[in-house]
Amino acid sequence: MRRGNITIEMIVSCGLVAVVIGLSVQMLASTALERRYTERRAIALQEAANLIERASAIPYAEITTERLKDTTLSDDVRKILPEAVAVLTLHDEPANEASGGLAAKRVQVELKWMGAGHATEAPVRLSYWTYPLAGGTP
Amino acid sequence: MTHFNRSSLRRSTSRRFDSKGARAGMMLIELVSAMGIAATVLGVLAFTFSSVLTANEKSHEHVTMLASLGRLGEQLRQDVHNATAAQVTGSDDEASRLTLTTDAGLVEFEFAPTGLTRRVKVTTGPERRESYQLPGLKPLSWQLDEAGRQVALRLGRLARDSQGEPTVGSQFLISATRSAAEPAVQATEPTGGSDATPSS
Repeated sequence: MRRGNITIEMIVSCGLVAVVIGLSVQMLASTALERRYTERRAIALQEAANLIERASAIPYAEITTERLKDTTLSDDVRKILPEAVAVLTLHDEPANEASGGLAAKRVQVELKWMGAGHATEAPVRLSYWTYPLAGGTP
Repeated sequence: MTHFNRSSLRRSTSRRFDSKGARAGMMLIELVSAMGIAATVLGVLAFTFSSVLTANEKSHEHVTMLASLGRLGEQLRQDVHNATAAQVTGSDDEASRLTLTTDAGLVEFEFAPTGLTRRVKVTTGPERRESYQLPGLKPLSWQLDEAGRQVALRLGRLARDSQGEPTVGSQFLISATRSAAEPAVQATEPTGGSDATPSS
């Protein structure tokens, strides 16, 4: 065996192992980032559903854009989702066959927040439709 | 005397060099240093492998938590919507049980060591029980407003403090509103959710 062969082979293998470890660390970091992203998204979805629940407590006749402005994000979620903003919009839905000939109101919640690298994450949107009481005064 | 000195010099020379002129013992030094490097590399590999296993376990727990959280939110809201009365048991900050009265019987949510347990007690059949595993989360308390309509579950995210002990970090709510005595017809439908288009 030539002198220094083992040393050279070891240095080459060390280099390869270093590359593999570097890639593994990068993969682990991106996995952690992805986990944080999905956790925030799940919490955002729950918060959007919370807002829908609160908005749905408003009687049909009293649902207005001004009234919806009172429905705001909780302080807890503001701490978890950086620069979170919730926008509730009201849409009048005309009567159609699918709704049984009843006009409806649709409330949409859109929740946005800042993600990693100060980029806006894909927003979470939830909608609900509310109808007047059947046979009664809305 | 002179002959002895020459012979001694020759013996010494043959011990230090082999036939190709390489220094004796070089292979041994190389092997020892190679073993040292190999040991270091194996140590780093073992650490990396351990980290990968830990990350895999965390990811598995994370997926379980996400699925359970979604299922719990949906089930809780459905139960609260169907309830005619709600009651929480325990002190204000640590109420650990929610009892919902429905036309069919009772629905109870209670804190468990690893999450929550839901029990449905109906008069017409056996008790049904299901559990929600919430790794990484800790149920903290049930909240009920004075009118008894708004029900909320406070959850805390578990984190590690500087000494590595688990501690409750940020918190959030899952809330639901019990329908009024004469509920309007309502439907809740996601129109985007996780598939929503990214905003600019």
